Amino acid sequence: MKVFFILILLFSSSIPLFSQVKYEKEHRVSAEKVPEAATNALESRPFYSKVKWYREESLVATTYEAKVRFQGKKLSIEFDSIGQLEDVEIIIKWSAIEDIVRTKIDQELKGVFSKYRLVKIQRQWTGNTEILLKSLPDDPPPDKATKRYEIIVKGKSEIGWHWHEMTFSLTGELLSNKRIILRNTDNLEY
Amino acid sequence: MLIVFCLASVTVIGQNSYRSGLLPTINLNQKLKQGWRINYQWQSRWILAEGLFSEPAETRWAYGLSDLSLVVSKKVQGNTGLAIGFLTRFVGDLQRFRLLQQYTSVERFPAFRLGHRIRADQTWGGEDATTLRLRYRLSLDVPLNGNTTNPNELYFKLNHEYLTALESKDLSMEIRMVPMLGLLLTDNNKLETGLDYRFDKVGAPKSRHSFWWAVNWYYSFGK
Repeated sequence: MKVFFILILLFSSSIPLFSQVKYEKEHRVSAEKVPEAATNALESRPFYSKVKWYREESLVATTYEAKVRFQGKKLSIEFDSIGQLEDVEIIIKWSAIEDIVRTKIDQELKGVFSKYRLVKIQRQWTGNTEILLKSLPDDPPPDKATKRYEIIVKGKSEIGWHWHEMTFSLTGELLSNKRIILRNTDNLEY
Repeated sequence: MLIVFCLASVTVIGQNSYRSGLLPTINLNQKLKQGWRINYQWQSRWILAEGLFSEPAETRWAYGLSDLSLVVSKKVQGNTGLAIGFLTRFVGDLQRFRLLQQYTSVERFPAFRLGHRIRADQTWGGEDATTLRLRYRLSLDVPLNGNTTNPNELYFKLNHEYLTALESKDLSMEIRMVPMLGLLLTDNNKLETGLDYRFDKVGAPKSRHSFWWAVNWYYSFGK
């Protein structure tokens, strides 16, 4: 497995355009296996649906993600390995983003891909744990949190079609672009 | 649902025939650049029992046939692919040949994957007439631990396929239902096993039911 990770890193470093790769393994875990700081942080919030916890192992870190439905919205609350809040994400529609920002994001995507399709759009907040969790599912005060857009894109570039996790600023500037390594589909094709 | 479907079919069709046995498959997938891939497949049938439902079961152990195929595919979008291939079938001293063309699409959902495959094939050679087939297969792949299948974790796969065949002006239909339990050994290595049920000549006076115990090994390599 280590060799596999090293190969991925070597390969990714040889293509400057896609200098980042997102390789994530996700396991469902019980709340008892989640750092106490993370479960305590959510205890104060009246989440009406059951909280589903996932342990995510990426190339660089292990995180814990709580997935909940709250007031009809899908929320994803991510904590680091010791239970400190990393970010909060909420799934939104493309039309929920201002026209001018959508146009800018489209321009950025056209600069990276010859063809693309948006798969999932999320609003992402980072900042003070208490303020972020208290304001859910609404936006926290602008001066109290950093807001970005995280978009999963299926795009075609010179290396073919791939899925990407891309983050954009509030004004639509591309901040990061990670190619997602997906599980192969050979057993669904042959 | 599958069991009910099988039992209902068997009780109605005493004069119809059955076959059962083992169906091992080796699937090697070579990844090339620019979304090109080559699939090498070996599949064999070993017959354990066959006959008519109305007669006492007669078991025997016999080699049935072997298929060797090579399919070249190209990813045309992130989740869709086009492929053409060639298969050769060895049945005793006879050999048959098949050309195939397929379109595949895999949809990813938060907790499962859904695959669609449309395939056309043309088979000739041996003592049988040339056969033209058109088939559609729906595949469901559900992780049994979490939202994704990780190495050393199990998954459930269900294939459901409809095939229409034209042979000597006779049109027939076959339905397949294949529930499988899979184990992802590593990211490029997986094993699956389960029942491969085939209901051939659907609606005809004498239909045939095949019950294969399938064992599939998938291994992928290359860039």
